[in-house]
Amino acid sequence: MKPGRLLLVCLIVTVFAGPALAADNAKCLMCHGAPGLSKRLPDGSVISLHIDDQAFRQSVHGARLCTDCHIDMRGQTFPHKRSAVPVKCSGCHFMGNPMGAPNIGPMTEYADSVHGRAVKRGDKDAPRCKNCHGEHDIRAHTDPRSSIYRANIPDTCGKCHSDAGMARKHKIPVKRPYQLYEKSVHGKAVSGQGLIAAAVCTDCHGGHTIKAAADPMSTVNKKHIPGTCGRCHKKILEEYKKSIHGRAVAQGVKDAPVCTNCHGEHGIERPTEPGSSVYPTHVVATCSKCHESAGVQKRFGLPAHRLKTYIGSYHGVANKFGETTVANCATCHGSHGILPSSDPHSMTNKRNLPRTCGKCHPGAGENFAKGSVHLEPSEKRDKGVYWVRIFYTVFIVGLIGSFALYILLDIFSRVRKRGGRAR
Amino acid sequence: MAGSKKPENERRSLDEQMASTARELQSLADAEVVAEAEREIREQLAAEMRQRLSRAVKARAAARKTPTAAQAKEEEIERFSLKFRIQHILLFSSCIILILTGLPLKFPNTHWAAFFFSILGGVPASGLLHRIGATLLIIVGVAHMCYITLTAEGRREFRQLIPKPKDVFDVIGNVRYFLGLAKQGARFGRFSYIEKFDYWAVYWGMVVMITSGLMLWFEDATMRLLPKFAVDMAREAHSDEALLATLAIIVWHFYNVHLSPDCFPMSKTWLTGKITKSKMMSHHPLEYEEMIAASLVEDGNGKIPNPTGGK
Repeated sequence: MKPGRLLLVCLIVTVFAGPALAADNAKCLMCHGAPGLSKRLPDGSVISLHIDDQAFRQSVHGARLCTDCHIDMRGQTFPHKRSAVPVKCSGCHFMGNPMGAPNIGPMTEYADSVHGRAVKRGDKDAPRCKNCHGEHDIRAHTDPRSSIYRANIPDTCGKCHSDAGMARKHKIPVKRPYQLYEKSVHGKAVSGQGLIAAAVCTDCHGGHTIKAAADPMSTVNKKHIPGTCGRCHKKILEEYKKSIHGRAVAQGVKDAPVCTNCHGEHGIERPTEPGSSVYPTHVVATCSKCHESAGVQKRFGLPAHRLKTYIGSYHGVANKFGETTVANCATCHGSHGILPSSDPHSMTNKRNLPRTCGKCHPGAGENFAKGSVHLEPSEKRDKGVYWVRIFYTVFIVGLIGSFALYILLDIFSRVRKRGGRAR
Repeated sequence: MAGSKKPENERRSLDEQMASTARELQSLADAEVVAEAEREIREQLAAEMRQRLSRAVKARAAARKTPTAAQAKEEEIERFSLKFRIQHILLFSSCIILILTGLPLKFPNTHWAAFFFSILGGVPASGLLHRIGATLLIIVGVAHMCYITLTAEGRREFRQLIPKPKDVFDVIGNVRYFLGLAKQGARFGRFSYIEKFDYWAVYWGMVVMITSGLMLWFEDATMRLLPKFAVDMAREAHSDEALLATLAIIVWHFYNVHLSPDCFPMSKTWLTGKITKSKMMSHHPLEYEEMIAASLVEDGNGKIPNPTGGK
């Protein structure tokens, strides 16, 4: 609708309806109910000023007057001469408000969040209440049509967090968390199977309180991750807490892994999915991220060459070429409850090896514990293998060397004879 | 006169009588002595033949430069029997399967190992093939044991394959020849030290590979009796012996039956069992000489076959 005609309509409405309707939403809808009502901003963009009466009536605020929120429009003559100022939700949604509006706790919760702080800095991209909750069509979070209904939360957050450009602009480390999440075990459960109990963005990150992962107060800060995941994965959390990794994290060891270090975060997949970082053929690389680091090995006195010696075994080779039934790190060492082999409860403690090996090798007995699993043949350990290797090295070099020498002599003599004949 | 003539006649007849008696006695005398004498004569003849032949063979070998069309069609002698050849074919078939499916496990970090497993669809498929190859190898081993014990042919071949001091002297002699220190290379019988080495290397290899292989195949059963480090040693031995065998085949055996100028690109004896007369004379002169000599002794007709390859 052209601004000229818009003005005309408003004029007619004002003349015919009169001030009697001022308190009534119908008065606003005289103009704002027209589907094409729009306004051109100074920068040239056009915004819609249309209010869907139907949607508004169905919203949580359906019984409210327009001017309950747009308090700056109270007592205005129509058509109002100045533009409406942004609505302040905190006008009602504060702790102990008399209207019974659900409160968001002290407003500091949002104000202290990564979004609230950005808004305070004047960041135009940062979401305000309306960006997540909607405006005139706000519905309760229990309503499946609500933008903040559990199943819809990923899409709501994804409006911004699917844009790598946005992530780069605001220095968000994860560029496309929405896309990753949609393919994750949680995302597929929610959107594919409708399992709305599965984790959505806010379960891990929080809603109004959301903070950057680097913030020590964030629910996704490294030291809080086990607790955050453990809200749903309780039994695993208990197991993890007793493990060497869990104990280290509790002691504040920054290098120790939490859930996400092995499983990933947004893109987390079921361990049985080939894309998972803890899928049998990926476990080795996942553990090696830390255990092959010379720094980590030195700092915590961990044995070196674990990867090399594993790859050197049949288990390692078969695993490398996609065999999922052979033992990988976790098969023998365990996963959430992993303990050093010196611990009597460790799966790799000598006493427990027959049982651990017996998971795959039926009838495994004490003989399985006689010798090492990660073979490092030298004069000091794995001597038997070492001497077999030395024997064959000498044998192979000596024999094949002699063969090569013999053949060279043969060829040499043939060439010389031929040359002799030619002369 | 008659009186004097008579006794003379009498004496003559007596002489004649004595001579005939002697002849009779002679003819009655031990036939064996005669046979002995005859054999001595024949052996002398054979030895002489051998010398002549060996000279002819040497001359032939020296004259042999480029094979002519006539030589390509020359007479062939059976060197390996069908039983012999079948064993060889089964042995190398199983070895090829075992090497192809085994080496990628020894060198898992190479591109060809990754390529191999990708076309085969993983380690278990390769493992199955390896066990099929292993079964075939064990069958060949058992069959060969039967061959060298239960068949006359096998026993004869086995006796020829037993290493003798001559083999050591042959090696030394040939090296001296290669270095130009001797005018003549070693002269071989049925099996040269090259072939004897191949044979006994397989013997040694079979013992190591089958023993360690079975330990690894039935590792759970093995570890009921032996500690894990014994299985680890078996694995190391299996892996290293495999490399040794592969290299020995590629370097030694392939040179001697494929790449050597004598037989490039391949000696066909393994397939046809036949060897040309000229090749037999140059590569197995002693066997050839013995063969001819034996045939002479048997027929005793003194006919000397033309050693230069004529019909």
